Amino acid sequence: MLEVTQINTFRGPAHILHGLTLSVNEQEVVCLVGRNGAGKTTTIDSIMGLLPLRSGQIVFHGENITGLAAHMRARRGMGYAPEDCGIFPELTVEENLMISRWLANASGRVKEAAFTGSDAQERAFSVFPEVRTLTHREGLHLSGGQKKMVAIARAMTLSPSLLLLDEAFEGLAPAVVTRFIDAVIKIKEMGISILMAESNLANASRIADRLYAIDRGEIIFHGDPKEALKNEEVMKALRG
Amino acid sequence: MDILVLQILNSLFYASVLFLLAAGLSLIFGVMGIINMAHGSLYALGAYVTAWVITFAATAVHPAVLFLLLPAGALVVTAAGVVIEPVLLRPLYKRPEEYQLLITFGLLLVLEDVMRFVWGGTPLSASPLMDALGIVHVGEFVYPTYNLLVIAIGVFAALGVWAFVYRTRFGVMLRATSQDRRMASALGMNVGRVYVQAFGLGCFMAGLGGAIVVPSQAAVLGMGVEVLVLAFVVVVIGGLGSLEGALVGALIVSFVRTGVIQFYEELELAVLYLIAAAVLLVRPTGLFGRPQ
Amino acid sequence: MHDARVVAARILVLVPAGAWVLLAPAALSPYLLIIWCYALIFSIACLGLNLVFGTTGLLSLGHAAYFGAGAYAGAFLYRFADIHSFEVYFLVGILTSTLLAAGIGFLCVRATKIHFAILTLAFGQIFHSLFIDGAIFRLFGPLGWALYLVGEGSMYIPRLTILGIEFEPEEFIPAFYYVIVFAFCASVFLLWRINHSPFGKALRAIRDNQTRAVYIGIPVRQYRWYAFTISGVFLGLAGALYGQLDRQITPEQLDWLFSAELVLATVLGGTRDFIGPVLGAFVFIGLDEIAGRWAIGHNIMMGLLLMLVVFVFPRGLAGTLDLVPGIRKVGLLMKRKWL
Repeated sequence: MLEVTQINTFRGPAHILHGLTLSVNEQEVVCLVGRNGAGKTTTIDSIMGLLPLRSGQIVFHGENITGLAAHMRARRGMGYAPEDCGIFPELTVEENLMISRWLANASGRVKEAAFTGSDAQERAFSVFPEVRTLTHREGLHLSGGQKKMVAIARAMTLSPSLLLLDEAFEGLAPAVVTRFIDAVIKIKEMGISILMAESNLANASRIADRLYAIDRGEIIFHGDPKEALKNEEVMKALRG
Repeated sequence: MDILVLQILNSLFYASVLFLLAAGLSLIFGVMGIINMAHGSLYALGAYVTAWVITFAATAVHPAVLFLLLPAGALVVTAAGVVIEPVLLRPLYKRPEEYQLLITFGLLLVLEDVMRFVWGGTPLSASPLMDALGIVHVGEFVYPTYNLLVIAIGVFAALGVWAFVYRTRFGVMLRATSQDRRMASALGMNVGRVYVQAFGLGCFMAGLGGAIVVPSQAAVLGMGVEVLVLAFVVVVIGGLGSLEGALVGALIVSFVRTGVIQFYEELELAVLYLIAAAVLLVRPTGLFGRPQ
Repeated sequence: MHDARVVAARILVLVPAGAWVLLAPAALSPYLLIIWCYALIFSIACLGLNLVFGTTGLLSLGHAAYFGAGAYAGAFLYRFADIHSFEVYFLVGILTSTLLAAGIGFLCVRATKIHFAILTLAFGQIFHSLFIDGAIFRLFGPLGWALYLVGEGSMYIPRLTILGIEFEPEEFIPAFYYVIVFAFCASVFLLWRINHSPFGKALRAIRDNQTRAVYIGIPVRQYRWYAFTISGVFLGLAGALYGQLDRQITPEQLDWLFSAELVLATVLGGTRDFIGPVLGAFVFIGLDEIAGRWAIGHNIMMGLLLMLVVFVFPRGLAGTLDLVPGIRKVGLLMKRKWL
């Protein structure tokens, strides 16, 4: 469903991604693993359309979306939860989710499936029931873990076919990570594909159907997570 | 006692106009991070257009119809704003803020001369509207009824803007965009469109301010530049980007101004700027500003 | 060691420039000479402003206050202390504007970016309102108030004695011209030295990255204050010259619109090149003259020009000229160390 081919991305004068290629299939959890600064966030941002590509191509559901603005990609079914969660600090959680509901209904994709933003939100609540209790809280007053949940729930409320999660487990206690891993599996069972940027290979290998390892803006490994754990070079690159 | 009532009414009249102006300025800053130096000139443009339209129509139509023409200035200014944002401002969002200030200053210069060429040096007023409403008696004094209408418009504008920003779908999107533009677009909001709408709304408020003031005070050259600096004082006291701040700031400035004029006329402006400077030094984000 | 090309470039630039500057009173009509004098004075003001704006990265919208103070101080001195010496008028003007800039600057440098701009604007307007509404004149008793009522805040400055010599009216401007030239050369020299001193480098470091400047031990706020005060010296100097040349000073020179014109001229010339503000000031005064003569709107022309600079030539005239290879070469040679 998502084909990223030979993309080059710059941040200011710095060349970050060097001819990166990856793909995500229907009903699949794909992890992008690498150290800090390897280019994971840049990859996610490039796919979301938040950073311009210097060259290369991105195809989503068979459509070339390389030149599309971020909001057009969101309307075509990409949900995005950034590393800093991006919760609007002075909006309540309810308002944060409201925006997604409206935009889901407006995108037109939803109407065909007779599946509204509210349904999508209910589905998100079924994964993270905790969010239901937070609705009146302002974004500013959420804990780190709550922000992560709201960010994913908000992205799911857009009723996406692909979720882009950037460091969704970062800063969570190990027990909570397990809780989130269950959540990701549940989301996948709902028919939503997931591309996750993750710096912890152990966590990634617990959920990934397929895994890409990235180092210095290039894919250095692609395949089964168990293979990655066995691969000396990958392990070396990931540990630094 | 009656004179006190009169002074309070005068202050509220002034506060209504200043609020419209400052709230627009603050809204534009809150959403786009741009200080619109041309805001006062857009206010003046609203005043000129309304005065011109009313003068033109005064002989032809019934006074009641004239009131329907009052918003003409606001609409023209909104139309101007909807063109200005994509053409002049959009290419500059990624540049340092000096450039945004400079471009709006350039716009100020251009607008000032355009008004000079079109309407010349003679003051232009929409007094038929003022005359149509007559006067009310406040004890032994008389007060123009029209000014009460302006106060009412100010109150409605304050309530309307509040409801718009805090109670509507567009308001939520507006606040979301102002808080995190990147995330807003990643969720599927057309940020470019939100910007045009916010700028248009800000311009509408400036134009409306000019339009409602012109039946009681004639439009003159330089009125925009003069009022701009006062609008700065208001938003600085209230906090840049805050609507509550614009309201409280407008009230403070209006009442202080009325008070100082009573006692020591020469210090009127100096006192206002001094308050602004003091607020900036003690609390740089103003009374209601968002901490940075 | 002098490189022959450096010497050649200097001769090529400085000899014609020097000859022009010295012979201008003979070559120009009295009217054009006055315009030329304004251009020189305006360049000093823009150069002074640029120490805060281009070099330190703080946009001031209140520099008109220091310009005006430089002329008003001496005007009051003439009126109330009966001083007729240009030297005293000049020094008192500079001193006043320096003290004013030091005081206001001390408060303003606590803010940065947009807040700095608004704060300088507010203080500038306080100063402006004291003159336009007459509060300052009140301090000088009934005579002061009468002066305010007559002049609406503006003040007359007579032809003062220069080095004790009282010039005839028709000789005055050509003689005063050399005072302006001297002040211009001294200002350019001093500001050049300040810009290229370790202090100037520290200011640029502050502009480019404040956090880093703090980490490498630059006392940021203090240096900003110094820059602001020094810039006040040159604004006062320019203002004092302006007052004597125009033989009056009005609140218009204190208004924020005049501050904005200084910024406009500086941006037009280019804020990142030392000589930019001078070019900008010359072009600004020239265009102003053309606008006046052909009855084109002054503001509309400046406004469109500003838009052109922002969109097409963001580095200003100096930066754009620098892209021309020949000029760039000469410029580089000019910038070499003098010894």
